[in-house]
Amino acid sequence: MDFAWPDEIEALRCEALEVGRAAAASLSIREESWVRGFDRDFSRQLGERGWLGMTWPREVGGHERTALERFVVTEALISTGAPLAATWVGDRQIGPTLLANGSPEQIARYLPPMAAGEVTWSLGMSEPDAGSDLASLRTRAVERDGAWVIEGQKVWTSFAAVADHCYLVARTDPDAPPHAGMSEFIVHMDAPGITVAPIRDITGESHFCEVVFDGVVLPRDALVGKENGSWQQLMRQLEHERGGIDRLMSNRALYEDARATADRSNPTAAQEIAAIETMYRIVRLAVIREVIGQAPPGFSAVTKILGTELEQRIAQFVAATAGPAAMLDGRVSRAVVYAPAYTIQGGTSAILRNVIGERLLGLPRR
Amino acid sequence: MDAETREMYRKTLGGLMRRVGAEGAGESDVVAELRELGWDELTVEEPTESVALLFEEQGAALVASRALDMVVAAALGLDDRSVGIAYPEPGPTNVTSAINDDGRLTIAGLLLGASEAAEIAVPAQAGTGVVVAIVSRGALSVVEMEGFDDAAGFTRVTGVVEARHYRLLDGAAWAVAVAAGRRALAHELVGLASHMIDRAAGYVIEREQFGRPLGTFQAVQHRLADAYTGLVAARSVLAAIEPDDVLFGSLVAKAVAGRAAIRAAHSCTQVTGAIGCTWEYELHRYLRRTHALDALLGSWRALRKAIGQQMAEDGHAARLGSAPEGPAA
Repeated sequence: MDFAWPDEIEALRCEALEVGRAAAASLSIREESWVRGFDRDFSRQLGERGWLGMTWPREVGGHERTALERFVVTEALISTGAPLAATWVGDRQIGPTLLANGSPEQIARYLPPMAAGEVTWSLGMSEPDAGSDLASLRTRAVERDGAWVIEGQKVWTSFAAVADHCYLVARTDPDAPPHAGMSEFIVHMDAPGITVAPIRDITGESHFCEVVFDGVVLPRDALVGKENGSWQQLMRQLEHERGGIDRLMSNRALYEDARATADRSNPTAAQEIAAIETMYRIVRLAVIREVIGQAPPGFSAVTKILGTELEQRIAQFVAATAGPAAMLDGRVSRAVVYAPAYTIQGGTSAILRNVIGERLLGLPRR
Repeated sequence: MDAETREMYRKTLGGLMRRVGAEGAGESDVVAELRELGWDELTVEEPTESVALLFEEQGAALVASRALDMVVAAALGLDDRSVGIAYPEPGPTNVTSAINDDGRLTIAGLLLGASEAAEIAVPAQAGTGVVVAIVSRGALSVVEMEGFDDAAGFTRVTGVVEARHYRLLDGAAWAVAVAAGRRALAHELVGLASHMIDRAAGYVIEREQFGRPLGTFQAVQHRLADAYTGLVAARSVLAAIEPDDVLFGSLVAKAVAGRAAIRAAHSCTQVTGAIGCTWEYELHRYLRRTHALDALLGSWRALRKAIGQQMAEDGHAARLGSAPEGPAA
């Protein structure tokens, strides 16, 4: 087995590192760049380089590159802290989910601007009373006069305040069992009846938002895929959300800085570096397995647990390397405060362990 | 102290701390109020339990005060308990201020509630020993901090003071003061952890998902049970400090309490989910305070190393917590 990249992929990786470093050069914080680094100019640059929608068909603005090529580019960009958040949700999961479930008209309309880096998508999934138990969501979509009317509330919707579109999951059949009564919709955020309120997160920043839909009217063709068929569509979409390289790389830039300054003559530090580097390579292989389509359904739960728990371990390593004074102010303390969020956002580790037990090990459901 | 008396003091101190916590920093002078309540007499009668009660309640209510200065000043033998303390900058060395060969005192440290004290006690390296110098507050300049835990009221200070502008404290033992400070901080960390666990338990009892309270899921129960186990361990170490082994006992207690509190903060954040990751929810303020207090007078990592070094030097395991019939060492 040869783990080295072919020359042309290695060249692409180096190019992406260079572009990422340049984009992140002026940023004081390079952590979580895929979820907090919002930069529309850089997004358009990514589009011009052909680094968005890399694997999508050419006729919808894609570039028909391999999944491995997309992998090396995204890994390199996130490792440098390049600001990807404006396009990440679209590129990571909405594009693929529309390609899989959308109508030809939806694909033709929404994918080209996504691949050009011109639009930002947000995710309307969680609700105040439907977090881990997503299937209990209550936002309603009611068919009326040939249109859909949306009533309800979403929360933890990143960048809803600046997003162009929201990918909304809503209840269309309240009488069906919870999993069987949900559908997916494309919402234009300028539609009347939408109110967005930013939420300050644990670091004091506010990319999370609360979104209220008050009689928002969507056209008939806003429905994506099957009516009441969201759950199956969503399971696939969540694999993209959970099983990618972003769940491993959030604080890689900080780690590399800490590794450079760590006292390697200290056996504790040296062992921790060895453990982190080993685990990093293992999780990376899990991501690659997902990327090349060799992972079974539910495998992303394994990848996300391994990746995010490594990110938390890295935060501890960085804190130990920087010393206690660094906990009183600055970049290291921010990283330590943010670290608990890794195993919460995008599906808590407790829920993911349920997925592993039920879907991968075949254990009885609760 | 009997159980009834302890409960009475706990109620009084807890009430004071919760009121101060609700009013916000700067509104009340905790130390002055303690004096009015007869704190000085209490510490003479019950030196250990009074500190335990005060700092656990201070941690639970997330109050920042100069109570630690008061404890350290008493351990230094200062009659004036309002003297501020320039705590060493957190880091690999025990003290971060020094008296140079020419007699000048170079100061680098942290103050609590900086502006209130007229005089500051500065532990400083002098040759191979550590002395404690008293300087006027005006001799120090403030260095901006980026505000990891603004509410903790830490101020980073520096200064260079000529020999004629400070006096050395006779017979002061900085090591004894550090032990008293560590013990108080360990209790405060225990108070922080205890409050976080209570709050998180309350949250998972209320919050329902999948048609039942989160707290009925074993994954959630186990996280909180682990946090609680750590808390009990920290309390046990504090209770096991022997009167003739206070220096080492306090060191171990702060190491165990710091680690337990940090772990509790992370477990509690995990079980409160996304709410626990918001600025509005109080948990992150406890998490910040936990890390800030862990950094003061030796982080758990640094102290763990010190425990190992001491055991290696002594050539035997520490006595702390040994069974009564066990080996005397």
